[in-house]
Amino acid sequence: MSIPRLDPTGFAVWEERAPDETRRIAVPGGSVVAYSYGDGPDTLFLLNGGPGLPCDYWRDPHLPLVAEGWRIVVHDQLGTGASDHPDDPALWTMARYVAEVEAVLDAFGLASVHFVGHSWGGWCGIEWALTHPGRVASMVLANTCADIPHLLTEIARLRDSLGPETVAMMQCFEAEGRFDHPAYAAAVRLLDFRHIRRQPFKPDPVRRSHAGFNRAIFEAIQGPNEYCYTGLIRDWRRIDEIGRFAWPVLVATGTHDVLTPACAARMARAIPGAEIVVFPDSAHSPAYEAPRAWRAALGGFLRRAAGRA
Amino acid sequence: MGPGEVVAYDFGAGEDVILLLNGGPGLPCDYLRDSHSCLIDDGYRVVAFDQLGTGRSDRPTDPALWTITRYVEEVETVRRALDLGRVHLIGQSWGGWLGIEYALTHPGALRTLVLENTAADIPHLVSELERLRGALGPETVAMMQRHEAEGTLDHPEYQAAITILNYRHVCRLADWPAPVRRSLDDWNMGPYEAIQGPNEFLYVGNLKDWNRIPDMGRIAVPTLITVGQHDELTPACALRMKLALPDAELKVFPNSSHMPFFEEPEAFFPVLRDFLARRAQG
Repeated sequence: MSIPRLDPTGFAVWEERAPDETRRIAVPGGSVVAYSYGDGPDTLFLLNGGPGLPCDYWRDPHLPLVAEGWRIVVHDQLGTGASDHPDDPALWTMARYVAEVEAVLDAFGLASVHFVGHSWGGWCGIEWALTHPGRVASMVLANTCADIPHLLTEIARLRDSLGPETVAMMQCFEAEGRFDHPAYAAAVRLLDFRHIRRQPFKPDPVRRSHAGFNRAIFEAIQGPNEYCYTGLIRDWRRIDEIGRFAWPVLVATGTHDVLTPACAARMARAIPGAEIVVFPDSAHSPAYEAPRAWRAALGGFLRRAAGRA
Repeated sequence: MGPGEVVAYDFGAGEDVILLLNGGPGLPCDYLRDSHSCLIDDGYRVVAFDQLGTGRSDRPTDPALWTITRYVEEVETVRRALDLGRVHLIGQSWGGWLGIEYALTHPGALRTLVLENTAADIPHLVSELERLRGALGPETVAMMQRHEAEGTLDHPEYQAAITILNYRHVCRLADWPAPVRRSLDDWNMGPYEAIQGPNEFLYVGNLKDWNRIPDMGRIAVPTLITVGQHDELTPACALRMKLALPDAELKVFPNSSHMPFFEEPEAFFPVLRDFLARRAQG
């Protein structure tokens, strides 16, 4: 049974649907729960952002693609959702998450997938594709980047738009580690409404993912919020390696994305033949902010990549 | 008095009486009383009261009560009931507006006037607040104006901008003192919204066109004006008052916003004490 969630124009922005198969899979550090929908010959492997979010927000807006003949495989990354929640901080590394992706693909016997990654899912996907290129049929890199040091200069620009006094205030509280101070939290909230999801309400799958947020993972890898990178990822940079990608790539971004169009453009320029799409009224969440345009861009790319056009 | 009773707090003894008028409107007097009651150490009798609708005073709900004219009569009632004689009147923020209006209505009741963190020209103040909001950048201002136009002032995005401005222009201390918290946590929004507006940066209440600059030449008593450099009621507002008053001194506290008595007490109180000591004999 599937329940389409329609927007006012009658478009199914997301779908609530029981998986056709649910597997518990051993991965380094524990076991994860993965979900498979549909049985088409072409598999979309979805990897959501965070890190530390259950997959709901990224899974549900793509489930309508099952009716178009795609198989979808997605999992709750370790530490989130129905998967194990170990609390060993040594587990929260990019290399372990890459091994986790491989374990999930092995468990389903998937020799090759169309990878659709969002944000952190894009970083992890880039790392996975560089280490396991034989398994990539095509890649969608949505609202992500391949050069964190460059991203930090972009984020500084976004923060600057709040004015120099606000930036000075943020830097003081960051230096003191007082990320919960009301003034600091208020600045983060302003930026979130501007650069994460430009919607006055929270769609249900987003609400579910946020409710299951594992902050320890996010802080270990990224930092205390979207505008302050103190975690392990802060020096990560693969912009000089992604020229090796030899499969169709779609880079997607929003005009107001926290991972900015300049970040997306750098990736698209570095990957031979990559396509890029910019959603003009979106920030970091075009699947919800511009659902029709997102689905059309994604569907068009996937059909070309899979030779279904 | 007619619509209800107010509770006053009396500290110390003596002929020299300081009467405190706190801001808000709608705030219990805790934050101004607790910061200024130390003046008893200099031999002053210090009197504060919870304005009608706040703290331990009665809390009627008739919106017709929330006018500056009625509050002026409330001040006069307190002064007469406690037999305070001619007082040193200290008004902070809204208490300053009230103090100005009171001084114009009851000129014989004052020895000196202290105008802390206040203004006498609300339309000018509003133009200053636009400048302060502007420092949050054009996107933020556009967002605020959209929510103000749509009446969605409780939206977390709008409230986030207000929070940033409050920590910048109301009290710059990272941790607000307990008396400030007590006053703010017991805020009666009835008088506040009726007289001022929904927040510190949007004036839509019945005082939005109030301007006593043309009348202030009639306030003959010695006056001290104090202001923080980062005050939401800005140094430019303070200067306008000084230029309009016949006998005024003005002091700006460089590391303060709207509460120098908490933000920079070591700089603030010597200025206040010196003024009162020099001019108390009027």
